[in-house]
Amino acid sequence: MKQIFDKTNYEGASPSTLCPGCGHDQISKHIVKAFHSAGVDPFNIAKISGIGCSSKTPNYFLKQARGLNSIHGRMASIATGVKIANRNLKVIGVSGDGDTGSIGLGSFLHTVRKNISMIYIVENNGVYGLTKGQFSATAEKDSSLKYQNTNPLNTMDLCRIALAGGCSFVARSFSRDSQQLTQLLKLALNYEGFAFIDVISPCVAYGNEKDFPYSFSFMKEGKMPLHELDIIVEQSAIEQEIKEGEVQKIPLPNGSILLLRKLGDKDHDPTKRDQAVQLLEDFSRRRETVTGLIYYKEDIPFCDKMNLSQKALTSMDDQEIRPSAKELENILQNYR
Amino acid sequence: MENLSCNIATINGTGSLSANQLLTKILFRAGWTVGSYNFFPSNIAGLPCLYHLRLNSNSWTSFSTPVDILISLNPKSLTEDLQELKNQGLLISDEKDKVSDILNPAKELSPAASHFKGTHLTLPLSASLKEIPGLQPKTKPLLKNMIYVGLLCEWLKIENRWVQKTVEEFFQKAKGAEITEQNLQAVQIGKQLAAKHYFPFSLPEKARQKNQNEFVKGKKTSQNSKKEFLMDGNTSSALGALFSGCQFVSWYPITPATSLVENFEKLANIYQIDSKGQKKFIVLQVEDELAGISQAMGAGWAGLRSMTATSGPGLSLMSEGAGLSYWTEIPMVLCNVQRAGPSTGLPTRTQQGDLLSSCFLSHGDSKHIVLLPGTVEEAFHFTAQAFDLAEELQTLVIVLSDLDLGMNLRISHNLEWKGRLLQRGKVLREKDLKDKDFYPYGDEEEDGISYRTLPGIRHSKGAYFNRGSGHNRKAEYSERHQDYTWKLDKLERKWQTAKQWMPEPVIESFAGRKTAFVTFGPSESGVKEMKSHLEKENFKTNYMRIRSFPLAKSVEDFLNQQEEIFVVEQNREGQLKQLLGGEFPQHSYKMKSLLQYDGRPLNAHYIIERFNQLYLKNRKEKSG
Repeated sequence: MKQIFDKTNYEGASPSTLCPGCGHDQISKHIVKAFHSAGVDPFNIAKISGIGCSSKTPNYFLKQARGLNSIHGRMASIATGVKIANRNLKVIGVSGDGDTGSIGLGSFLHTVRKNISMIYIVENNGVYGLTKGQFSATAEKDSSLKYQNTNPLNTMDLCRIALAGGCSFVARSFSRDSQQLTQLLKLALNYEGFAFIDVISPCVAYGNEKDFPYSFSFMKEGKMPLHELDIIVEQSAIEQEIKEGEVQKIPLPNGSILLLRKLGDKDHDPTKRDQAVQLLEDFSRRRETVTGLIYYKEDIPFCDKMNLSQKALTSMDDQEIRPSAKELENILQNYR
Repeated sequence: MENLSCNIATINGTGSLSANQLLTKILFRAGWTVGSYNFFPSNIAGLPCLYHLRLNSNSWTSFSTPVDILISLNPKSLTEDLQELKNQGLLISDEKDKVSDILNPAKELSPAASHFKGTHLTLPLSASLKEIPGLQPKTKPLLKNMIYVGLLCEWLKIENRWVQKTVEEFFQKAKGAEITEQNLQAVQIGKQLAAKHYFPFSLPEKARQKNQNEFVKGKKTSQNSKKEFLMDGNTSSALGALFSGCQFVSWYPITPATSLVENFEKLANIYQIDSKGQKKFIVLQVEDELAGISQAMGAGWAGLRSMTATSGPGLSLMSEGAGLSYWTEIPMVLCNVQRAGPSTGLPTRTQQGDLLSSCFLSHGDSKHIVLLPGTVEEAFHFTAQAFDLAEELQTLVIVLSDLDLGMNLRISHNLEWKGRLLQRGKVLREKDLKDKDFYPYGDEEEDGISYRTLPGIRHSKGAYFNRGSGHNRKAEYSERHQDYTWKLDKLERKWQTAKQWMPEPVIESFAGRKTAFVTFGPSESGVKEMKSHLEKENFKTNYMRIRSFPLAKSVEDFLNQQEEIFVVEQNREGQLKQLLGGEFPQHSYKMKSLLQYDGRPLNAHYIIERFNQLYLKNRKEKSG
């Protein structure tokens, strides 16, 4: 029988050393909530991060799990190694917009390409916090900040980059949208593949000016959620007699069904890639931040693409992985 | 003659390497002690390449120029190639190439060409191919190579069974019966040409022949007898990784490390497949070398034997990862097959220029365990041992070889594999945590090595967060100066612990001698040849080949006994000398450098001349 763990098992160290009110701390709370309510084994997780404010946060959730705070921009690479070594682990990676959009862009995009099974969260605030407020690559073009001049460079949209790399799970959320982010995380926990969630997470110290698209006040006005998400097991889906047309139903690999109830005026089918690309283009033009599930498709995870043993590589013993002395002799025959 | 050497000058992309390696294998099987060196351009087709073969009665197999024979199949490089041919040597060329025109005294010649006073044989190599029926035009250049194979085999009086067997093995399976037959015919043409022409050299003695014949005839040999084989160091390293239980390789293609990984993958595809046909290993070609080291480190952190392989430019990129491994104490292996730097340098030439950067790779007080194989056997054993050391010491272990060892075929003694149990080091499981206070960076045994747990451990005490930033014994974030110093000192204690596990140097020491040659890597044959040469002139020396960093205990004992030490290495900066001087400043005044840094393997003739010029001439003049 599946063991049930109480919520304290999913919490982390406290207090956090981030600034009071930081969006990142809110995200940590949602991670605790999602992992708890999904009933994930709290021990069987690996938490990986890179460098920056965001990358400090794995200390503040899932304290029963081992974690590694690595080097700048290499979270995705480290996570790749961990997941392949032990495919039974749930891997959650936390990164920032500098860590993913600048120094780790190659690492990120190539992990997307591989479709490594993991949850990849970017805590995105458009600025470098730890080095005191420089623009990051995701900052809007022509935006201004108190301690910076105007940003003359084009904006990098990480969701669009993920789509370009062939990512099959692309979502965007907001650190204060507990309901949506928790549901997206639960959906990601059910997903076999690379689940990318770009979470707008305002920096209270350097990126919270009213007109900066990553500020609390901007997100309050400019956030456009697509759907209300609900994951239900198949049986209750039938009982609820969902009326056709009102909701979109997406079957999930574990037999559950994802229900998407439309919010606002935008029709969006997240199973259509061309719609996802168009959606991001449209909203960026409107200077609004679309949130929710942007693209969802099942794809073969990397370990299966590579025909890797179903058994975790780390669980194999001497006999399984080392050829015998006699086999060495056989090999050497070819060199005599 | 004690010594016979030959350069074969060809154009890359014409299949000459296959022919040359085939010839090397025939010579090996026929009982010759053969050294072989391939010089190839960083290019796919059309540029000059050179293959150097050396046969020697005293088993000196080092690269050494000038040579006795030049087989020239590339007229464009002839004047250059002639510089490496002895003045009384034998030049062989293809009639078609009209080499006589180049050598014509009426023309303006390079100094080497005008000094050439040896024998020039012009043979109908291309023209003879007409004798082979059904030949496709594209296979012609390939078969031309087989003619000189036959030519040399005949002159060297090699029994046909070796030639036949080796040619069949090379072609039968891969190319089929027809191609095999054509190749055998080309060899036969070469043999007939040889029979018509006088070979102006006597042959060196076959030092290994007796042993080899016994083995090949299938006689039962005692366990102690040498079963030799012919292999390059990269293949041997790949075997070492396989037998050590490596299951994870993440790498970026780079000459000269590529064949190491490709060989590993070939082997693993045979030996690491489960009953369902699924892989028990992975080889990942990744986006850059920093990803290579990071992915391998992720796997090492999760508890898997993992490695990356690279050369100079990749080593530079990996530097940040190396520091993370050292500081957070994550096991993994890095095989660095050196090439000539700095920067892109000479990608297809050898050098020992990464010694210091490997030892101290990354910023801060980083330093790494570095194993220095000098032979094909050591490439196997040191690579295998690197995985044990990485797990036992919980750190990055670098296996530092070079293009010369990695890519040239060498005759090697038999490999013995005892198949020990995996050495996992101090890893705690759930049951170990029950009644124990656990400090992830503690040092209960004062050997500097902590206990660690692996991700997925089902015990609250076992969970912690490794970090590249400052931390205390509990692995908590800390900027306290006491914690930082404690950590650095703990890593130094670990360094001291490591010394006892390092391979001892190879030492040849004689009572009464106070002068020594010290070297590392595959320079042994060249240095020993020099040593033996000098002994004939009554200059008698001891010998030491360093095989690791940290330096094993006996290194210091050896240095203590010397009054004068010549450090022979293939770089400009005298990096081994610097390393030894840094570790043992009390001996640094005794040390002098003897260097070769031209991108070629240690050249015995050059290094003997250089030693004479730098150190012996003065002495003779003084004493005279």
